Amino acid sequence: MTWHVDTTQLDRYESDALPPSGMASVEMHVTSCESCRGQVAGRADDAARARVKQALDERLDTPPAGRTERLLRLVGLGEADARIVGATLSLNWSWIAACILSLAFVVLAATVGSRGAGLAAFLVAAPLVPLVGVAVAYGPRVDPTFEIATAATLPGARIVMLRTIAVTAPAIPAIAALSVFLPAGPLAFAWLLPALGLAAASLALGTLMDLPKAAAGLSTLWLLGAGMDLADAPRTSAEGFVRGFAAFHPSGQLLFASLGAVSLLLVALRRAEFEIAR
Amino acid sequence: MDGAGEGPSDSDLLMAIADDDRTAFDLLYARHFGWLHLRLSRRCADPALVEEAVQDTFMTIWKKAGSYRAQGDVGAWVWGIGIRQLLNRMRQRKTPAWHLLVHSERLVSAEDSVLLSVEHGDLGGAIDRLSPELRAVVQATVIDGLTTREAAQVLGIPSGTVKTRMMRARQQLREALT
Repeated sequence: MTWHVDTTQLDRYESDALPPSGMASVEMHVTSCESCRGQVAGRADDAARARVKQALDERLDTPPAGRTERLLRLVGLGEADARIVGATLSLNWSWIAACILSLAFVVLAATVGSRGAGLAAFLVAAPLVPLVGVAVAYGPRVDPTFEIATAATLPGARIVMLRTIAVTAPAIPAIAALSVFLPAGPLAFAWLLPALGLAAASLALGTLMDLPKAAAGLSTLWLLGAGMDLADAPRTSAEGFVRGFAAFHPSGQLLFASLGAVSLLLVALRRAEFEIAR
Repeated sequence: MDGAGEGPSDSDLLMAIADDDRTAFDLLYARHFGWLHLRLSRRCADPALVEEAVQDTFMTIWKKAGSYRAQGDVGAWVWGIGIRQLLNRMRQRKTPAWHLLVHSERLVSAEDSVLLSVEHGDLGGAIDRLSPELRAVVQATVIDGLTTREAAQVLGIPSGTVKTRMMRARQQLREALT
């Protein structure tokens, strides 16, 4: 059984000129015969071989997608976007977890501790978590993947937004879950609008200066405001005390909501600045 | 006939690939690209789609080399991956199912019909005389090694029809040989 495909047969196979049984015979034989495979390899389309090889090398040299990244792809995010969000999460999950854990202790203190103080500490601290997220979102000093990001073809603004969302999206539900345990009713969620407003405002400021500076400046203002207002707040009831800080007043809440909306508009208008920031 | 040539055998290469050996992978690619590309080109008229399928096949080989358990021929194993990758790609693109094959006058024999047709003279002829519909079913199941369900998808007919056509094809071939 030393039958082999000869050149004439291969020629006829390639040009579809064999009867069906002959076509199949050639296929079955070549698939399992090493020397005939070698013969076919010698005649193969070199351009196609090189194209496929190059594509393969690129795919093999790309690091495999992590679990988060694959999940994000599944949800419908594009390849580049999923990679950015995935990398952001894997670089930052430790401090996000740390921040939320600290908040959990504050919640614990608030449920057992003195009236108002614990609740106020929680509400004042909570908006700072997304702010830190914005601070580390983009820039040469804070971002270990900055060099890669500048080489990427994605616009800088898109990277900043993806990063910010990657950090705030898990942080906000986690903090909200903690709020449920606070014996303060709807007031326990008073941090939400300031958090969104401050995060958006720092992004808007980030079109003028470094994002970390913008976030640090706003955090300082926020803490100063809280300190000054709460120093004079009446200590009669927890709710009264917390509402002593203007930000937790209904009017203050409205103010932060509009601050967020205006800031996002500014970011959209000035998004080109993130390119120059490189 | 594995190992007839010089250098490591294909199954040795697969073992090395399972340990992430890129050199072994490149060698396997050099050995198998040609015939796989040629044979897949007979199944799909779009060269770009065929190239994508070949690429997917070698990606799968890179990832799954460890699952080759020296059961049977490496070429047949590679083909099994290749034809399914091509089907995937064709399904994604909604390429009209296998029309090419049903209408064309090519393909098909039974298992090792090369040898049989030499000895029994007429098997090759019998296969060539099958109607295109029956031949397409024999082609998809026997030659391409697809399951009844995959063949049904590829040919755009119900699984039951694949089975009955296969039965009729077998019957006709048996009659031609006796």
